[in-house]
Amino acid sequence: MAQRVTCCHAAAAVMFQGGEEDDHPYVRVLETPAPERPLLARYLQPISWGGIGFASAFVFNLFARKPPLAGIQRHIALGGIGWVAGLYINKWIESNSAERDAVLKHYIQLHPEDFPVPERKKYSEILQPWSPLR
Amino acid sequence: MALHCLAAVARCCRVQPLPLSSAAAGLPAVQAALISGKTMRGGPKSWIKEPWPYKERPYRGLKSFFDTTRSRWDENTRLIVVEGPPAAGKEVVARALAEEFEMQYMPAASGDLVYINDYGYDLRQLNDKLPHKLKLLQIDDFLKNPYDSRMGSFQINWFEFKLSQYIDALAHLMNTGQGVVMNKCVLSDFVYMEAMCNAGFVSRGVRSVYREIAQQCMPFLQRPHLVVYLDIPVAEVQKRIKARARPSEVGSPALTDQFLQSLEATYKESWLKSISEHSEVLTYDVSQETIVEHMVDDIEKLNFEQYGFQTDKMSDWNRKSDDEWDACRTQYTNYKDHLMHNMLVPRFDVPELMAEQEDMKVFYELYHETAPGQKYRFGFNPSMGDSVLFKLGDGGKYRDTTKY
Repeated sequence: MAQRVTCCHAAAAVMFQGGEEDDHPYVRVLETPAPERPLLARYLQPISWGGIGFASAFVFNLFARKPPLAGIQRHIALGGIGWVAGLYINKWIESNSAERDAVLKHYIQLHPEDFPVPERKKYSEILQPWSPLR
Repeated sequence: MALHCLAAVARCCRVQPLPLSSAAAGLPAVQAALISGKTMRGGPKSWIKEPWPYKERPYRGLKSFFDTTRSRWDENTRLIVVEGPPAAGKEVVARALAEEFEMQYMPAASGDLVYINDYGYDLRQLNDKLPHKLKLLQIDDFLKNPYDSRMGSFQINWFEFKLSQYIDALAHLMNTGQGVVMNKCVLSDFVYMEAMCNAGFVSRGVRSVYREIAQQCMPFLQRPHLVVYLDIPVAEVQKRIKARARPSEVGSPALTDQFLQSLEATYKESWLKSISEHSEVLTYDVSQETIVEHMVDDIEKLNFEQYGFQTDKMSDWNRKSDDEWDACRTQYTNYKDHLMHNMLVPRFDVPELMAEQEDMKVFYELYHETAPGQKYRFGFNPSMGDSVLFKLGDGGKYRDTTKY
């Protein structure tokens, strides 16, 4: 996808000469960096996949008729594998989101006429006067 | 040039007329490898290869590239089963044959083999606390009161043990190349069920469940090479039982003439007939005397390899490729539980074989949790002093019945 973005680089350069597409509020929203997420949310994938790996060793022991913590190496190894897999999954999710945002941004920049900025209104203009009569 | 070469080849390949008599050609009279005893050989036999330590190390998958099953086999790698009615002297004969042919002897199922677990704890000690229907029964209980309603499940338990033992015997044979002599086997166990049913000890429903179980389990087993049947008439059985005076057998309501006759009839008319389609059968009348040397002589004359692929004889031992043998060996060595699970036949129509849920709960707690060494598999019981924290691996086979 990154390649496709660079392919359209010439068109984008032409487009940026006008300067007004950058001011599109949707683009501005897509360009705004996300706020710092809490620690648990950032490590959600490694924690959950590591947990699944660790727990699968218990299940293994259950079916093999062994005490839950027998062969603790296996628990640790499976937990570690799960953690690393979670890190990569996290990376993949983030790169997917970034790519999606870039595509959207690019599309909005190419077709600004499809994204008319809605007129700002106050609720007082939307709401109609209400009278409790039937 | 080409013609010249062809002529040379033809000269080399000219067929020599073979002499009709092998003796005239100076060849040994018997070319097939026959089973041979210690006495005839004049000394202990030499082993081709170290046995595979199948009780400690698994055998599967990639191992078969480096360790083929048939590489350990020789003419003494045979499965022999000694059968016969009670008190026929099966154990003496089987032990003597095992000694002579340097094979592994497998004893008949007994309470000690079935109920003493791998840590040496005798599970029969739980009988005081177990519910009536789930008590651990043994042959003495059968001999004392054969009309007990629990005899059906007793016989099925015995079948389970014999099945496990038979799989162990096959695993031993395939992994070590050593032959095995068994004292009775699971294939003939149904004669007892038939006799029990005919004598009225168990119901026809139990027999039908038993038959279904047997039908499920048997196709996965290799039938033996040789069956030695020790034949004695019923009157002689009764006389010998009186003579050996085991307290549980003398005056037992189970060992009636009718029961023993039924046993003998099923053995001869059903089992020996069907097994003789596959195996060699040697029948001896041992009512007067038992001469093991004669049996050894007869066995040494048997040629197990004379049968081709067109007959059912020895067909279970006719696998063509090493792959097939390795797969077979893997199954018997490591996946015994898969074979044992064939016993799980969903039959709920026979009340003798069912137990109350409350009783099952009590049984489960006592047998699988409280009893020493029963909670986890062998080698993984912290309560028995095993250190388990860093222990990986199988800890042995599913259940080892190869005790001797």
